[in-house]
Amino acid sequence: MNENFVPETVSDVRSKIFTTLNLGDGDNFQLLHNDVNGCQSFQLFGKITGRRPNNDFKLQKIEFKIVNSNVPDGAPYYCVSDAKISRTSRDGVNVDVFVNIKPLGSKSTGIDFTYELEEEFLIRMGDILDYHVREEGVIGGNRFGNPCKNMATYFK
Amino acid sequence: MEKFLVGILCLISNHLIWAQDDQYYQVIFEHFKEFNLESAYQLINLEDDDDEILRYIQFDYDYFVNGEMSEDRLKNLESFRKYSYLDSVIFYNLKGDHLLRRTFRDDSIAFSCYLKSLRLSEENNDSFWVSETLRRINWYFVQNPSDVDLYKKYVQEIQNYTESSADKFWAKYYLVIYDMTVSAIDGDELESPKMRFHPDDFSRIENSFELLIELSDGKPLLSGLTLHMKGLFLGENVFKIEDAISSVDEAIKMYPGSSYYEWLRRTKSLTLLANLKFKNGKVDEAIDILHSALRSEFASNDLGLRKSIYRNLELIHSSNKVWDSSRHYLKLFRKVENELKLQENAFRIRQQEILLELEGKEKTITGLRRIVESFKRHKLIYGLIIFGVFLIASYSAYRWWDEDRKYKTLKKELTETGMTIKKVKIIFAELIYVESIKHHLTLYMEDKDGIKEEIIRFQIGKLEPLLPSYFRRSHNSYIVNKKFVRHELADKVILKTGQHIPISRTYKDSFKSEDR
Repeated sequence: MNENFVPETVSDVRSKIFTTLNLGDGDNFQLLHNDVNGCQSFQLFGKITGRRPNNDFKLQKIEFKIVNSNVPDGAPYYCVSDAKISRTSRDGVNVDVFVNIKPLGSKSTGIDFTYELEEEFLIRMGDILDYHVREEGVIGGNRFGNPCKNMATYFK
Repeated sequence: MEKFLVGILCLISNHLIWAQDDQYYQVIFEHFKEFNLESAYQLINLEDDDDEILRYIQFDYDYFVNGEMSEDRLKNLESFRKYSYLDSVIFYNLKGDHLLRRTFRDDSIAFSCYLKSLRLSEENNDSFWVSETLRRINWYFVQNPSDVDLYKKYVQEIQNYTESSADKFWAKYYLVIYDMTVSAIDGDELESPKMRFHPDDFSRIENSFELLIELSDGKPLLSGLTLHMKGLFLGENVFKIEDAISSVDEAIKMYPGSSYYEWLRRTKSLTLLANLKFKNGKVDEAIDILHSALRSEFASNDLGLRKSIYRNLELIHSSNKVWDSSRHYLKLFRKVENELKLQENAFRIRQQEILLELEGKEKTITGLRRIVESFKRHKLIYGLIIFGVFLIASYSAYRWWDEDRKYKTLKKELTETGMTIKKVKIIFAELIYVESIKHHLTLYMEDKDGIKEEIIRFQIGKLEPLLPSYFRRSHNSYIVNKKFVRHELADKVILKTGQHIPISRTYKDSFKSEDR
């Protein structure tokens, strides 16, 4: 990457700035994705559970939580309703994480949604994860728009 | 007998994808299983002179076994086009199929073939072939869904033909595919074609597939096709990917893969399954599936499919960060792609040559036709022009004839009054006398200003007989015009112009006699 690069816009942030995902044993919630479209914004957090045989990470469970911010009066709060993880072969992205959200009348407490995988899902060191967050039943826009890249790494 | 023949023709010429009933498949599969043309002939119990039917069998057999129809066979088939209505309908349908099936498809020509067949069968009120042709047109639009209005027209038309259970299946099938084509929302730029649907659309189409599976009535190829399409559809929604995998798994079981067609469908389903497995995170399984597809004995025949398998393997390996394998398959993919490009270029050049030849012929024909049409349109003008040309021609002919006549008269007059020797014009009335000096003659002629001399290289002996009788030889070297003689003496004459010309003893008598 260009060393002199300074992010100026949201799309710069989404396409060029990598966040890192810590895949370790017994980790707590960590920031996965920022959604800053429009006046209402939220941050998506996740607690990732899995095991680490050898050098790979076998994903077993993700617990999702949305933290809403800047909610105007009368506007709904959002929470995660469904999630799916899928491998892809697009340039620069290895894993797609699809997250469906739904509006709520009031603020939710506790974990929004627990995504438990029937079979373990392999995530390698250095895999790039791309999050696709979208409201249930709403179409339009581009789910695969600006990729928000999240690199999987291991911290001891 | 006639009904029997028609039945056989329908059976044989039914394309395997669009054949109306699964029984046809079964009969054809059983007897083509061993790839033995003889067994197929025996099945139909052909008499020796049924060449026509033989050709139709060969046509389908070629595709069934080799996956492609040879151009020679097509040419042979073409000669049968003009025999009867049924022949031409079958010919156009088969030709369209051939154009769509081969490696370098020619969609627009295939479509025009189907349209011809549709028109013919509609004129003859043949509902069987109308529905068969409509089915082919629908398949054409499934693959080229650009013109949705036209597609809708033919989808609606096929709904009118629901006599048998198979008809009902196909009518519903195309309706569902049409629904899928129209409801899909563009927007994702992914390498594989992606369709996304509104949740309502999605559930509606999903239910339609359930109905379609009921309609297929457990017939292996129809259900296989339906399950494959269902898997493709469900795979678009990541939340339904497990259902998609199980659907495609079932579809693969429908194709044992004993013939080219079955293998083709099987490989397509396997590639789809591998993609779905890969998406679901089961990378190793996906790679195994693709390798099993590659290992098939038919794989070497079909470059296009091999290309897509290599491409998939390359993408999966690169996503899996196994760079050596990824590079290996990328190389193979590029190699096959280049081979295909070479073939395609050769094909295009051949096609271009044919087109150019046709264009040349067409140009001459249209040129001639244009002349005839414009002639018809401007009869009066062209009539006048032709009349004018006729007048000019006849006038010039007359002029030529007149000139010729005048020239001849002049020539005749000239021989009487004079002549031309070596470009010197001699008028007899003006020529006084001729003197010969060595090989030359000097002609002395009367002129306005006196006497004019002309010297020509000529022999006096040859000149003498050409001159009229009043020219007499007086000497070995002189010829004298007697009209210019003033006095005749014993050894010379004195001319009116004053010259003295000698008379030799040899010519004395002949000079003085009345006749020459």
